[in-house]
Amino acid sequence: MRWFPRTARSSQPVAEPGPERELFDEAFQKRLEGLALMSRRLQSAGLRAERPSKKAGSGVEFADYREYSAGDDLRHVDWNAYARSERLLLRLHEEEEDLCVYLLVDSSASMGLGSPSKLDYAKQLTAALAYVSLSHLDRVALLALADGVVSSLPAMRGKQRIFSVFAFLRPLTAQGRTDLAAAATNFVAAHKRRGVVVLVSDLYDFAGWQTAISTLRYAKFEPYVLQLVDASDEDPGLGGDIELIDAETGEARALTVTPALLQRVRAARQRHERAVAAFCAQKQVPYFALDTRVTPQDAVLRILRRGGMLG
Amino acid sequence: MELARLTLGQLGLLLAGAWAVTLALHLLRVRRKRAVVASLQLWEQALAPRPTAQLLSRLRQLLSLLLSLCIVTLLALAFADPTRSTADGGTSVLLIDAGLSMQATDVAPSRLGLALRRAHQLVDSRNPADAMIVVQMDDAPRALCPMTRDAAELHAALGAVHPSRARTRFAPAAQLALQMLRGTLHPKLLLLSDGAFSVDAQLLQRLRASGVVLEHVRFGKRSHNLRVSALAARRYPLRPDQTEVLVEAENGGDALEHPTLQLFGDGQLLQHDTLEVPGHARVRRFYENLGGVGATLRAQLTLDGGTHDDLAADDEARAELTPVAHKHVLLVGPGNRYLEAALLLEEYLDVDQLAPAQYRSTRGYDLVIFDGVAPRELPAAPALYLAPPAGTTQPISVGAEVSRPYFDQQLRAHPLLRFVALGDVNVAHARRLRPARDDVVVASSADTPLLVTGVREGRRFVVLGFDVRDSDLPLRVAWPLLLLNVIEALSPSPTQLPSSTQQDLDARADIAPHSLPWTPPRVAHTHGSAWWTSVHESPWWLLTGAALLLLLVEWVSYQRRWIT
Repeated sequence: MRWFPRTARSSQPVAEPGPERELFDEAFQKRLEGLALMSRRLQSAGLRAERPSKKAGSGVEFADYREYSAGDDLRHVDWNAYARSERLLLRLHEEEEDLCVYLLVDSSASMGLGSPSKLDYAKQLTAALAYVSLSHLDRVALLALADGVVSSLPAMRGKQRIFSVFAFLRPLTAQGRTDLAAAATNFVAAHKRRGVVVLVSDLYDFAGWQTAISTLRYAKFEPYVLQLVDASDEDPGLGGDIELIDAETGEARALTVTPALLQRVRAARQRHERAVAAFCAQKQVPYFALDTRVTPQDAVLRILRRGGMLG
Repeated sequence: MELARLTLGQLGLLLAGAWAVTLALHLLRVRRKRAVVASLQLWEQALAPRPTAQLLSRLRQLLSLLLSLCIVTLLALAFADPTRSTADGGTSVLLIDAGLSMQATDVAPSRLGLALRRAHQLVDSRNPADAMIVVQMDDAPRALCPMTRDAAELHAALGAVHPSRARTRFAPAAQLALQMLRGTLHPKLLLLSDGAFSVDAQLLQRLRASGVVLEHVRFGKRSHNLRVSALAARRYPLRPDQTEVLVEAENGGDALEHPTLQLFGDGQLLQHDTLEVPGHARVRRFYENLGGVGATLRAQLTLDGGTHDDLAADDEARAELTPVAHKHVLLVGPGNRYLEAALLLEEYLDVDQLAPAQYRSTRGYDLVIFDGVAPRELPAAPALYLAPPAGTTQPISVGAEVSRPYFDQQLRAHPLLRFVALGDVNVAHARRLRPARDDVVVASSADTPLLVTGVREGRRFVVLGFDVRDSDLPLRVAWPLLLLNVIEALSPSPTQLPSSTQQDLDARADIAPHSLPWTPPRVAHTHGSAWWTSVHESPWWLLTGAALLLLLVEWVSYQRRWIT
């Protein structure tokens, strides 16, 4: 699979040479390096990294003052402030920590539709996000979901691990039914360290998508929802008397496709999209609806960046 | 309303079968195309049960079934061919053109065959209360049955129609029909013809004024026809074994044709020629000195590859030539080899020879030749006298002998001397002839007539004043020619030997079908509907058209998604 079209030869390869070198467009790669996945909450520190945390620590960036209490390190007392106000105030500094980023890719059968398929689109999107995170020394873990966690790539750091990401994504195929609630439950149970969770899915699990997002939130993860939308979802490209087959369940339904019916299907899909958007807005979960007709590059550099997911 | 093709029971069976098949087809599940979608749940939401939608869906299915049933019903009714009927019958004259042009095969099997087929249908589909008569029309109209309502009798009359080689004349047939329809109820003239005849507008006006409804069913498609428009043959009077033939070919089509003309004499091919006949033109050919014609002559036109045009009947013409009459000649004399040899040259002469003592009469002979003798009485037949003895008085007086006469005076324009040169003939001696005042001296030597002709008692005679054996005349070509001229003068052959058959010069090779310039009269429908059984009256085409219209509506509504 070719991840991104190559447009220029790099003078500084990402990592060791190999077939994966071709998977990234170098111009796109450079632009990705200037981005970072934004987290609205400073997560608990792990290893020191480039990412600031709310925890007062040994960083150099001033964060805030607080009242001195017994046992505090006197080295952090701001004596100048004491001279002006005769109060003992403790200078708080931001601790620079690494961020744990979980990229959850829906690999159910419904993701196999579209041209390019939604799964291929999700792979490219996930690879780009993984590279952004790895470039900032974040810990990146990948998980493929269907009716549970199908496969996973443990958390890792460093740009050179992008090839592991590619190796993980490449063999993913669209199969199985979607059960986001079960998958989220499995994920939460298996990952104790909190962090950012990016869910890339078409969310055609009408009964479970809300539960899945809520589960992530309740477990103190910071979820991002990227809903992939493809035109084939609402128009099979055939008219008249046809038999529709559900890609996941195999269920068949005979019906007559008319322009009015197509319009109603489009309206139903938009309702579904609006429902997800409303739920996410209510729960303060960043939500992006990405049409597969938009290239992954545009989606990353324009939509996600403009939406505040990448900074 | 009656059904022309089916009974009500048959129609019922047909409808039941058609409906059953339609229902079965309607109930059969349609094999649908398959399409895979990401989530059928999305579609289920769009298809959420709506009472109006379900009702519409059922109505749509019902409407489709009703539409199908309507279409098959209309088609079945159209097949049954319903016709109107009333108790009040009319009178019809079924005029069938059987003229030459109706033998054209531009429609299968022929125009006449098609017309007869149509006529049988008309008889079957007419109102049973209608009286009808069948009249064959060619050069003269012939009624083939009485006015009757019996279909069997009408069918039998149609079976008696036979093709004619005569050209069609509409006026006598129309006048006969007018006579037949005069005073009848709802008179109607059904004309089954190609219309390839001249029409008198005044006659049509009379028909119209008489209240006769003329309905013309036209047959034929084109005019691809060549014909032998004229054939004439005659023998040469002096050479009856040779014939002069005139052939004329006419092209009734628009395109230039190159037909092959063949002349057959007694079945043997005599002449083979290729003509070039432009469209709507005539081309003539003369053939002179045609030998071997015999008793019959046939001219035949064929197209490339031996094929014929649409009307083969006029592609040939025949001529019967009268046989050449043999002349019976009685030769009375002691014997003259020169004379006998000359008479043998003409094959149409039957010569009987008698000694002078045996001569009694000339009964049964066309002419008699007296060689060196003279009868006591004038013979009853024309006679040639060769060197009559001196002292003869009949038919002219014969005097003393004259030595070495010469033909120094001749009537060269006289028929006896045609092709004959006597100027240098040497004669040893001759007898002086003394012709009467009305006799003609054809040749003479000074004042001595040598060749005299005239009429006695209504019978021609020719006298030659010397014995040919006393001259060098038998050694010359002039001798048999002179003898044949004399025989022709005494017993002339018919001056005209046409013995030919000419085609009808008024006939036309153009057999293009034409419509009559007929404006239908305004018919008073006293009983609320037209009375007659018309060939266009059957509403089968209306029913078929309605079925097609329904199909069109269904197709358009499906294509345009009027019903979703």
